[in-house]
Amino acid sequence: MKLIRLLIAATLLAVSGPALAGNITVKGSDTMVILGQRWAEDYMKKHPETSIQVTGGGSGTGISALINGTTDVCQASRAMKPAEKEKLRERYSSPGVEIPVAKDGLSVYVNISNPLNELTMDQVKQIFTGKVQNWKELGGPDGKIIPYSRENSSGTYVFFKEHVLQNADFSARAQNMPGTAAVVNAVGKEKNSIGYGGAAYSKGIKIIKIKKDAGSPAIAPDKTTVQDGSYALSRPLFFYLRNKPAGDIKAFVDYVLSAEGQGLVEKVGYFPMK
Amino acid sequence: LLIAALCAAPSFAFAQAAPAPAASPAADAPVPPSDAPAVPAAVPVEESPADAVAPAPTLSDVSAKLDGLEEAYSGTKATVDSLSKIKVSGYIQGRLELHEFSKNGVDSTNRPTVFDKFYVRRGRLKVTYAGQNAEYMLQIDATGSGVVLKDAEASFVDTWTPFNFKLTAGQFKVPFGYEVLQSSGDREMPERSRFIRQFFPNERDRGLRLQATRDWFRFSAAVVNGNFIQDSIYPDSDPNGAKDVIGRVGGDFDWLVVGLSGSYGKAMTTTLGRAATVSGSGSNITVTPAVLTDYKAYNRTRVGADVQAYLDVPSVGGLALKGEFAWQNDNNVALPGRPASDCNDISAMGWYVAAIQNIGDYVGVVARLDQFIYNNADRTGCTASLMATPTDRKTTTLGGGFLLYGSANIKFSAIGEKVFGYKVETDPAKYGTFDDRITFQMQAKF
Repeated sequence: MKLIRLLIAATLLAVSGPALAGNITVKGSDTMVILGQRWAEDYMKKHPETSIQVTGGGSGTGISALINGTTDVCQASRAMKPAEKEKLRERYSSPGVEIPVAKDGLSVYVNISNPLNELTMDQVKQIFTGKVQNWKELGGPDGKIIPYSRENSSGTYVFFKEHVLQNADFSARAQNMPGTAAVVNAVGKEKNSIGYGGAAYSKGIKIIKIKKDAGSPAIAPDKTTVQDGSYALSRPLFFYLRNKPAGDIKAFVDYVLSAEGQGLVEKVGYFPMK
Repeated sequence: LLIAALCAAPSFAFAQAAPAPAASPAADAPVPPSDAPAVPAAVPVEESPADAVAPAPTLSDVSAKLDGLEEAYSGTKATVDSLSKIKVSGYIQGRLELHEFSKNGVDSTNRPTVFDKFYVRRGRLKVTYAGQNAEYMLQIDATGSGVVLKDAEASFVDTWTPFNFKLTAGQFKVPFGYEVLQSSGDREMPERSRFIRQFFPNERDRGLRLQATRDWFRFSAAVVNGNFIQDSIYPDSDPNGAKDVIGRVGGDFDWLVVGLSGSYGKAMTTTLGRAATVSGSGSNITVTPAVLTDYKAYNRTRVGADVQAYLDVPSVGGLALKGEFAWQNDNNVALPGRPASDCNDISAMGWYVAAIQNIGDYVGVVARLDQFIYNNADRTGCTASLMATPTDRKTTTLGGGFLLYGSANIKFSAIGEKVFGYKVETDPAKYGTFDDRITFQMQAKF
């Protein structure tokens, strides 16, 4: 009987609401970490009773944290995989909630001194799989290409691998960087390098226009081309939750989707949903 | 950081080369505040004239060293990347079971009748490796009964087509329904439903499996030996040469998952014989005649359906509703010297419905009703003596209880199960299978 009483007490405690009302943890995509921080800062100014902690680590890390219960909100720059959804369902008996909160044009960066302005999707694939190793093979200057990639916990890595490399493996020459900022920093310093990441990180590097194939027009990622999908590497950025949002989390999500929250998206360098 | 490390490296080397100052007063001196001018780390250089004249490293020296470090880093990174593809996981379930029929003492054959016990239900260790177009998976189960190989899968993974084909050879869970494939570490109830345990003992077989997924579509089919692992009579191979085909096709729509399953194959039931025995003495000699081992062969067909719905109850948590059904028909076929008889045909079916309500993130409540119907007693014209086992069993089990998640790695459960219908109170071999029980379990996983 004692055990049953204990379990009932624990049940009531759980139903009575989150133990730390007013605290929200947001974890996941490094691509979105600046955006998440800006949202959190702005929201906390207006709601000082709420504390929001935003950290990165990669979309995969954020999704694992959501499944393990160590974050309230997961930021992800890729969709959850079926196996991840299954884990969430098995643990929480819930399908989870996916909320697209912004759009991004996954961008291919080169050094600002690189004379090339456009590449086809296939050429980008050839570079990152190691089949093309010198810029002169693509009509550029004679120089050994140095590709910079991301760690496999990154949603950007997964998206790039699926959509550009078509699931082929990255070249062993590709150097993994811990975040998009590190990729941009490396590409900005090394004249023969190439990297990829979110459109918001574009200072000190050149963003290459992408052609779906040799006969297609070269398109740069901007608000119009990303929102209408004509840019080949347009992608949504997501919030994932375990259950339908309620209380403080709902208020924060509502703010993110409001005109105010979406306005910040553009200020950071991404693109609003509408 | 690398450049800073390189610049610091000569200083470190000099400090190593210099004799260690004995009980230097400076060692006990207070640490200067962080905004105080930094004391050069290479002060001991003055003690070594040879080093003092060494030229400062040029930019090209540093650059060359940086290149060397990058090269070394690339090698290390390749190794770490390779190792990161290996994943080790596992879980242990420690359990206390309290049984309705348990009582102190032994029965007439000296077998204990105490079934209340602590034991290790599962001690799983799983290793996976995901390489280029290949996956490796090995899972063992170490308990008080020994170590058993559970899964050994060698998979070829398609990365070229949109169907994500995966071809697996080895030992794996057979693709049928939902509960067979659900991990025991995720399951809310202590054991699978009774009909699943009867139809798919140990859930695993050896063979070749093909899986495909695209968007919501799920497909899995396998050709297997046809006898499950840890079979008491035929643990290593099927007693018939024919292989079984088994598979499931379904759809996964996030909140709703549905599937249809089926299998066809040959099965054999073996009743082991025994030699004649003589007991007693004088005029009280008793002769127990020999019993020949009996074989019966069957064409076995199974069909099944499963559905899982995942809903969200506002302000409470996720609610999972699950149901599954399977029907099995064993059609007796002739063996040399043993003609087939309809009276030996056996049909069986089972189903369950279950509900799991999460309450917040840490508590869950589960309830399951399952029924297993085993019927070979309604054949017209058959008498009991002609039937394989003249029984008509219907066993219904209602179970439910609480789940408590301490963290991502630990789960507690307290589940009670009440058995209705077929109950065995006299056959010790079936104690613990057909009685009411309460199970307390703690599971830790990593």
